[in-house]
Amino acid sequence: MKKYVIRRLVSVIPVLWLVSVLVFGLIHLVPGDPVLVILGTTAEKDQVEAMRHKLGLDRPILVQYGTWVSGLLRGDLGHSIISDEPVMEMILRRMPVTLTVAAAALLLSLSISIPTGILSALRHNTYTDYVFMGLVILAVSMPSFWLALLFILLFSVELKLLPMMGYVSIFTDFWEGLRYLVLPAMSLAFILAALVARMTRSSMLEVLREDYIVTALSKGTPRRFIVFKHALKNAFAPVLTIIGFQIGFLLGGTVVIEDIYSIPGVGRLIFTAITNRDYPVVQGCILMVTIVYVFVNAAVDLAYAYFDPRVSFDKK
Amino acid sequence: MFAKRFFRNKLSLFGLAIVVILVLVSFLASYIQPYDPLKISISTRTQAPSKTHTFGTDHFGRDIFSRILSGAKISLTVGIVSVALGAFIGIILGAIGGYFGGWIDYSITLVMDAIISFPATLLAIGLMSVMGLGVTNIIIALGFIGIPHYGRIMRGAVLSIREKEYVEAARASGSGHLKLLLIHVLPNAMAPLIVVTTIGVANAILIEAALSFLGLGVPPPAPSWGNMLADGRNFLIQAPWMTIFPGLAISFTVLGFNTLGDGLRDVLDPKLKQ
Repeated sequence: MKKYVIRRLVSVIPVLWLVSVLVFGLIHLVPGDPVLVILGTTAEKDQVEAMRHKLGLDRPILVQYGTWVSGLLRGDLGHSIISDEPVMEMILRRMPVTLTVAAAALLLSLSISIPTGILSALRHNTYTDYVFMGLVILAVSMPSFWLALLFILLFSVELKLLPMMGYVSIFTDFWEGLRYLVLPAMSLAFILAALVARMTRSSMLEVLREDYIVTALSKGTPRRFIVFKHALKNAFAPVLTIIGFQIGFLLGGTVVIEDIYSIPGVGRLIFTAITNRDYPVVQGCILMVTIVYVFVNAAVDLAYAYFDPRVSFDKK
Repeated sequence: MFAKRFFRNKLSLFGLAIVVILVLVSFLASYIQPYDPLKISISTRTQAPSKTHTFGTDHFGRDIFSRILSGAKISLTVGIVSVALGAFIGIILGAIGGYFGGWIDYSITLVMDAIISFPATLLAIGLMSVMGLGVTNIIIALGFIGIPHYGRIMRGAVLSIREKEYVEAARASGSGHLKLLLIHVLPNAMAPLIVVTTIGVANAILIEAALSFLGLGVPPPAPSWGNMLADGRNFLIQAPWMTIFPGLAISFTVLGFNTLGDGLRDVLDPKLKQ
């Protein structure tokens, strides 16, 4: 297991390196001269040269990358073109907000999807199963940003139950913070819950057909004990994979949802930066969210090894 | 055999019916739309759904039903062309990596792992923010994001049959690399590729809608469904139909491709069916 943990963590290094190359390359995808895009074509020559120097674009590309990466390794992502604030500080201030929204959505989706998936599997080919799976098909087809708008319309405008937008940290005022979290979390949780429920159902169905479950049943072991003690643990490994895979959707979706609910997280920061053509901030945000995603995925893989110890010996 | 199984599968048929309807709508939009989707009419702005305007009108008085019909073409074009682009490049790279192995395979796999490490929507936002608005750029961005999904499948298929005896025999009898890949390997990977590309179209349509919704996709006044939702957002209370109907159009389309993909998976790989 220890070997597996080390191998998995080491495997992250080349991926992160290439991720850094791609993020660094983003600014070079700007059509034409990125400095003129930032400052506008009417900018003075001195201004253009000063900005080019500030962004390091007046140096050879390899030197630019080397400087950028060495800064990155020291936790320095450069400075915002607009506010001159260190990009890392701007991101770190907002990252907890984004992670709180994503975590709330994940918790909500798991609390809906796991019981639903289990129930569907236990009542396989009954109306309960059909209704749940029908709902799953519908849920995965609805864009989360559309749901967010519909939820505002229903819960804020019509029923006046929850705030339309804004954010209060749950660490400042838990109950008030929760009220602000419900709609964004619900908007994101819907699709995620559907995907996890579907995987839980199919994984449980597979495990429930295994010989050891049939044997336990024939020995008279209580069904509830079998489901929760034996089946769920073994069915959980594939479910974890889909959760890990969907963390990316969750982080990407959070960015969009933050814009709708005016949540001051990394997503809002990216959009403000895009509007201002503040490329160092755009690059920094994308890089940091991706790093979080890469490490969450590594953690999910390690958790997978816990649920299915055979994985640890997989040489692949 | 495949056709028989396909037409017996209700899910596939349901998905196929939706996709066929959408394709027909996108081709015939200009003939069947009751109004010009771009025509501004101040006197009819934000009108609720009625007999004259089935889905109501937007803040410029444009007929929402006509705009939705016209938007189908944009969504389908972006979805299908971006997936075709990503699949084309991904299949070639996956085949090269799996077939030749060694450092070529390692390099290609690493690039694919790096691309897939980005949350897809976030990478799309990043790419569009630097490349600029437009359908072509969305197609390039979404195609790029899709490459690893197809590449991995192709690589897996190549690896699984690379050492098989009939491939060895074909190689020994003088078949070239390209012929081997096209005749022996590609058909082997077709089933999972068809499923992934079908569901990929649904995902591409969703991301395009998200990008246009955020103002990073298809530039206005083109009637992209995402653009329409972005407009609707500003009139959520006064004119909720501006939000409801474009969202339904996106969901309906995604539902079609998703169910077609799920159905095809059941038909092509019955082991996966639960």
